[in-house]
Amino acid sequence: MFRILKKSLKTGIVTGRHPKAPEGEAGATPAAGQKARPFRRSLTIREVDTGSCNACEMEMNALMNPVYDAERFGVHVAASPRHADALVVTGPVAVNMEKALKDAYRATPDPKLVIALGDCACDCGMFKGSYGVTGPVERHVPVDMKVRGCPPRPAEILQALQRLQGRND
Amino acid sequence: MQLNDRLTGSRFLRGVNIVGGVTVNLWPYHLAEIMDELDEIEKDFSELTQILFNNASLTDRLETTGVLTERTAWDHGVMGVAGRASNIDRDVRRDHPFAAYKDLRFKVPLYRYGDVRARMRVRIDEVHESLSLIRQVGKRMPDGTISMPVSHVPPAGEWALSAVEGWRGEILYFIMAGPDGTIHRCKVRDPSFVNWPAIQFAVLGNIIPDFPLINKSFNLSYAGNDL
Repeated sequence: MFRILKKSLKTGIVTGRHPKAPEGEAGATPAAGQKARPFRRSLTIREVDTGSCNACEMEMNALMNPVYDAERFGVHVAASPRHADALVVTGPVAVNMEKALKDAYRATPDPKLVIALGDCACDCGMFKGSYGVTGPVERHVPVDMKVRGCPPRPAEILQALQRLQGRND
Repeated sequence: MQLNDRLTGSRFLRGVNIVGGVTVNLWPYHLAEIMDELDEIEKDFSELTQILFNNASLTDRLETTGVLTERTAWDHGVMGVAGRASNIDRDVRRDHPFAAYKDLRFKVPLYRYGDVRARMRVRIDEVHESLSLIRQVGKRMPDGTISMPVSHVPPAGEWALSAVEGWRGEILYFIMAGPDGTIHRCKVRDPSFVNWPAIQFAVLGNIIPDFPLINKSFNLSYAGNDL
């Protein structure tokens, strides 16, 4: 018991101890800022994996850890698209995941945002032209924002989300 | 991962391994940075294991939970962490050394009981072994070029099989060349494929709330099963 307390006290606060994201161009559509206005203070996201390699998922996980701590900006992750304001889609949309993506999109209540995370979701990345993928996320559902990178660093995802919420700090 | 990013520009070490070598050279100041970080990680990790082992309620939960007997493990050919916790003494790095492993000294942790605690202890021991391996490699890093040009194009139908000890166990890769230097067939055998059937024997007689614990103590991949 005392060991745990001692460890926590000694470690202190690690939030924000990460390298800064390079200033990238915003991959958002012009209408995205207007659409994101209701979610300025609270944004609940649902992760949709359409056949990614899990690297983007690991970075999304890292976003919720004490170092990056996206919850301090009101970003939560929900376990169902019905509870979500935004879908974060990763992966190049594999044939078998096309229906799941469309179902998740339909299940998300309006108004909703779709964020394509990673090179695969933006333009199929290295899987472009493969028989197993059915084109980038844009082909199936309207995308409001693209975050590029393979995978994008957590700091970059955090920056993109803050931009979307209209926080420019 | 922040260290990976600083050294190679990718948190997942993407684009570091190429055919014929590596793309990033480690200079002595890089190695010094790695060693400092390792010392810190080891100190931090040792404190955490101290806390874990001094916690009676955790030991009570983990011991005799999800026992995988040596007999069952052997029958199913269980490998990696789960196998070594059930006294299956197999490690590709030691048994069929690849890369520089025949010049490095390391122990393969082995436990007899096959319960969740044994699997946790195998993992903890392996962290220390990995730290020692990185230190040994750092001390003996040879000079010279970091990659060689490869001009050999395999003829169609030529195939290769390789076994690498991943963190879950032995990963087998089979690859067959097609015409004009393309890949005709590729098959990956992930350790998850072999270890999944063993879980149904480990959970027998355990209470329902212990199922997630046992499942995660094996830590298998759902996607790895289908590769």
